[in-house]
Amino acid sequence: MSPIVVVENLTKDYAGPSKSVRRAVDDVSFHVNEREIFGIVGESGSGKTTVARVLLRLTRPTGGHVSVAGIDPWSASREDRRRYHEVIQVVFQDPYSSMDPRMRIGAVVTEGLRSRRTHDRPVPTVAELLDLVGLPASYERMYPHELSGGQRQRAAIARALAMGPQVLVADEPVSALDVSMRGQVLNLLTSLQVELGLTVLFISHDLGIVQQMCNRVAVMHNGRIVETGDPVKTFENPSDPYTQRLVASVPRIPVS
Amino acid sequence: MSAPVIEFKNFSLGRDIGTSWEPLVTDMTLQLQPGEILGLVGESGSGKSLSALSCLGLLPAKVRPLGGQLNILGRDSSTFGDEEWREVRGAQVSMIFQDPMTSLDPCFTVGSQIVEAIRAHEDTSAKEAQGRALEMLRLVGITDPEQRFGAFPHELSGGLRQRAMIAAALVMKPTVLVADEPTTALDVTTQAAIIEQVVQLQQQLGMTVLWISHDLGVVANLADRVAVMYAGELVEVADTKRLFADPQHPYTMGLINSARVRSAGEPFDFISGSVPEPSTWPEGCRFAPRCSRPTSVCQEHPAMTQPDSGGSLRCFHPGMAVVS
Repeated sequence: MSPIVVVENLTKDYAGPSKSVRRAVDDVSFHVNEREIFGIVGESGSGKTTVARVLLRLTRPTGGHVSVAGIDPWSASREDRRRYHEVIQVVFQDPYSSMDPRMRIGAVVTEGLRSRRTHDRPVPTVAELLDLVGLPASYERMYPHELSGGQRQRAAIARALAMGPQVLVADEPVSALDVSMRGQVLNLLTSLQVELGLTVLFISHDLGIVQQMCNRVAVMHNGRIVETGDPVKTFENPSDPYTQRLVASVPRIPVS
Repeated sequence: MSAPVIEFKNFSLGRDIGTSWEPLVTDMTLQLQPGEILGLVGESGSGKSLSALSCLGLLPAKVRPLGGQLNILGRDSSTFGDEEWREVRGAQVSMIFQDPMTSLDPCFTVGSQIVEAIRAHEDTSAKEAQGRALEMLRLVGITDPEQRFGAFPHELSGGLRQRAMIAAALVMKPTVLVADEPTTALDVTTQAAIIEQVVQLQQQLGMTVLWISHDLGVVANLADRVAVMYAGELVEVADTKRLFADPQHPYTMGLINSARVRSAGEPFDFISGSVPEPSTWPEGCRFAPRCSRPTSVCQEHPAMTQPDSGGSLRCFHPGMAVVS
C-alpha cells in the first residue's frame, strides 16, 4: 500500500478580529493509503473541513504541503491543475446548496466532463453515471428540488465520479439526511469504494459511522490531530484526553 | 395519576392550500404528565415541530388546528385569544429552539432579553428583574453572568447562546418547557453539557419537558417516555426502556436499527424509500410503502391502540421483527 494523499505540516491562518490571527489548522501531517477509507473526526472549528478544502484547492494553505497522486495542487501548472481535478473529487454535506437549482440532474452530473483532459478513458454517459449510484435514467430530466435529500446526495456522488477520480472527499455526506436514509448513501459509498478501488477521505462528526466504515481515523481538535489509529481501538480505548471526552459525550442507544 | 399538563385529544392540523386544507398532523392523542420528560421523535416532515408550536399558539401563517382538542394546563386552547396566549407563553409554557442565533434578537444584549421576559409578565422594577436575570444566567451554568449579561448574541459561542436562551425561557419558572432540537446545532461535548443542565433544572424547578429530537441517542438518555411520529401521526408511545428494548412498530424498529452502531465493516441499516410529503400520504397505513412486511390489511388506516404491553401503538402487526 502506498500513500496517495500526503499532507505535510499543513497550517492555515485566518485573520481574526483586530489584526489577530486565528490558526484553523496547526501543523497537521497525515497520509492516506490507496483504497483506504480514512476518517477525520472532530467538532465544529476543529479544522477538519479546512484540511479538505486545501486538498480540493479551495483554500490556500499558509504553510506546509499537500499532494494527491503526486500532484501538489498549489504549485502545479495550469494543465496539471486540470488533471488534478480528475484525481480528487468531493461530495459536500448539503445536497440543497451544492447544486444549481436551474440545472437538470443530467447537466449537473456531467458539467465537469467539459474540462476533462484525460482522453484515454471513455466518457461516461449520464445513464451510466445515474445507474452507478442507483438512480433511474429518467432522473436526467429532473431538477434538484424534485429529488429527495438521499437522491440528491446520490446525484452528487455521480457528479463526483463522472471525472473518474481516484480520491473522493466526502465532507459530512449524510449529516443533512434523515436518519432512516443515511444507511442507503453510506452503503452506496462503501460499495463504490470497493467496486472502483477508490480512496475515500471521510469527514464526519459521527463517531459511530466512522467506526463502522473507516479503516483508519484521525481525531482533530483545535486545528491539530490529537490521535490517529484504528477507529474501533481509538474509540474504545482513547489515549488522548480530548478523544476521551468526545467519546464519552456521544449519546448512545441502549443495546438490546 | 394527576391531570396532564398538556393533552392532545385526536388533535389535527392542516395548511391552507387555497381550495382546501392539507392535513399535516392527524389524530394526535398524547398526554404530557406533570414532571416527566417526554421525547418526541420523528424525521423531517413528521409533524413534531408543528405539534410543539401548537402548545404555544405559534403556528405559522396558513397552518391551523383542524379538529380535536389541545388542552394546556386544563384549559381548551381553542378558546385562547392573543391575550391568553401571551399569558401562557413564557410564564406557563416556554420554548427553546434549535438555533439560538435566530431566536435571540441580535440587536439586544442577552441580559436585556431575559429582563424583557420577566417584565412582560410581571410588574417588576428593572433592577429587580436584572437581579433575577443574573441569577438565572448563573443557574444555567454561565460562569461569569455579570459579563455575559451585557453581551450581544453574536459575541457568545453556540453553547453559551443556547444557555442564554434556556435562561430566558426558564426565568419565569414555567410549568412546561418545549425543547425543539435544542442541541442539534451543537457539538456533542456541548450537547452533553446542555442536556445535563436541562435535566438538573427540570428536577430543581419540577418542570415538565417535551423534548423534540431526531436523535434517538439523545432521547434514550434523557426521556422517561418516548413518542414516535411518522408522516403526521403518532405511531408508537412507550416508556423509554421498553421502546428501545422491545419496539413494536416497524418504523420504530427501523429507526433504532438505522441509528445503532454495528461492527466495523458491516453494512448500515436503513429504511428503504423516503419520508413521504403530506400530499402523497397513502390512504392506508402511511408507513406501509416502506415497511418490509406489509399485508393486505395494511391498505386500511390503522387506529391507535393500547396494547397490553403498555403505551400505545398504530400498527396491524405489532412486534413483527424486521428481518434484515
